[in-house]
Amino acid sequence: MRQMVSKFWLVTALVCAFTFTTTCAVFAAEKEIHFGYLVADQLHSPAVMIMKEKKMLEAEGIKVTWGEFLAGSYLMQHMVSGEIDFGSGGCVPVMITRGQGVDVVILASANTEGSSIVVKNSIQTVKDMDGTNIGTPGIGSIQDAMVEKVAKDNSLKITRKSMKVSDMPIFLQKGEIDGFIAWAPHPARAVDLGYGHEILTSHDILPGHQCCVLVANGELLKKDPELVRTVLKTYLNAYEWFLNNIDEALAMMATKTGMKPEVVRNALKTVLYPNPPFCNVPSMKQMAEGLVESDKIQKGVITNMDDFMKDLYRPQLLEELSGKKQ
Amino acid sequence: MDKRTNQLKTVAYNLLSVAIVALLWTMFAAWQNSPYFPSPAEIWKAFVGLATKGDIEGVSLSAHIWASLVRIFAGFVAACVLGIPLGLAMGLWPKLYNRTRAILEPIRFIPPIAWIPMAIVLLVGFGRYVFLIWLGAFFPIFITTLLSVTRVNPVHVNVAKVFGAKRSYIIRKIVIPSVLPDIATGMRVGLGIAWMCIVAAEMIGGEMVGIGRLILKYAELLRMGEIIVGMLVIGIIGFIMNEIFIMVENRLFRWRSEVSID
Repeated sequence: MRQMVSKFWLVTALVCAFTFTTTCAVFAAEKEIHFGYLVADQLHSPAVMIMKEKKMLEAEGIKVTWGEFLAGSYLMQHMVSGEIDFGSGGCVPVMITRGQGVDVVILASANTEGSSIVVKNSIQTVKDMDGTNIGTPGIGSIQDAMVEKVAKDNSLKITRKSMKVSDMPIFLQKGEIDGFIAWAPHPARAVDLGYGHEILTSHDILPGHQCCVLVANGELLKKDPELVRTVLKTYLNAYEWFLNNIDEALAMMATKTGMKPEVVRNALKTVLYPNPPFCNVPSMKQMAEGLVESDKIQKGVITNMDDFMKDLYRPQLLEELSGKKQ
Repeated sequence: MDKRTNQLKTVAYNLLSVAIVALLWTMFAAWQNSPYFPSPAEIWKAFVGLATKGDIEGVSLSAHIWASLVRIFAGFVAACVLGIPLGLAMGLWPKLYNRTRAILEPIRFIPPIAWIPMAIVLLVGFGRYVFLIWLGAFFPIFITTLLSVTRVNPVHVNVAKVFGAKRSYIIRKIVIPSVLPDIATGMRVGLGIAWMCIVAAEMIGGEMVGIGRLILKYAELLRMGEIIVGMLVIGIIGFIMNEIFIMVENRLFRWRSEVSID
């Protein structure tokens, strides 16, 4: 009897020891990140959508908490508070945040171009946009900067009104605005509903311009470069998968945005996905200059534009993983 | 010590508390040394910039204040116009309230922000702001009026009845004067909530003016100085309006000794 009791305790101790060591090993291996993305932004950040849907980060042993944001500026606010480690959003809010002295770094591009201005049917030419009200996703967005550029380049007086991208077609239909600028597929949706027509794409405004980017907390890059490397590698795998499986990705985008596949297909025509996803630095510099000029980045913050860009955009990891140079 | 000295002392203590908070704030800002916790001096600089040059889109601070004030005033007046008579009617005829409370009470618990998607689809421009502010201000005014009617001193009503007073006389000469101080309190609470609703209402967008919009604009640019200026403007205007309300209450209802809010 005593022998049986000893055996029982021995087995129990062994089971406990095994459970303890395996649990410790699992917890030690599993790293946790917080990843933010924009609402209905699947067409601009397809790689993020695919990483999330296919649980690609989890397969790399990373535990992810996803966060959805209305616009890039809100995503950046959460990044400032340290709540978000990685994100995908417009490069303009990232530049504004960097301009505030926050250590955020761009690791790769998500897409280039991909925004359009939709106006009511009575507006036929760009000149007709003089004296109109155009909806934008907010003054800290790349789209707002684009409308500002259109107004400046064509000497027009355009009043920009901030609103949620998903509300823009309703505002246009009700006549509260004369047009709006948004990221794909929202312009295509408004056109499909018959609320207006596309007058300019972002290609017309600033060809090949950088749009959404993969951004990371700069502190994290210093503290745990291996983790950042794994996330970027997974991102690149998802990006590659997207480029090789457009139809499957399109179906996924239609489900996620709740839009018809043909609307998404049309919208996709306005978006570019350079491979490898290097950022378009000249367009980013041009946008940063515009941000300084309009005081969205306070004057005096950027003393040297090249240094600012070098601090902001770090393509080294991407070069290493893709085996190509920027 | 006379009343005037007392008042001066109260003002002095209030100024002292403001100075202490500003000092603590300065010390904390210096300790934090972060652009996200600006010092009072930086907030003042942001205020001067907004007041003299306007915001990033050139809209002046006064235009923002005026836009919000007009929206609040319209929403608040609408809440009073509907809330006071409805509260009185339901207080005087409790059956009316009892038979409709299944509609009224659930609506009371729906926060104005939850109405935003419907407001976007169903309403346009100014009406949308007024609706959301009205929603916030209506229920405190309505409920306070309703409850105050039920708390009218029955002795007064019974004495009037004994002397043969008609119902209309009792309402005009007893009920309404008795409930006025409570209605005023409800209005003050409603006004406070109206200010709370303004940021939510102006968050919808579609306009470039309004203090709520000013705060959101600078939130997008991560400029805390201007954000705090917007917050302080709301706080100070709300405080001034509240003080005016209290002064009017004290003057109008001097007869009611228990009205001593300050």
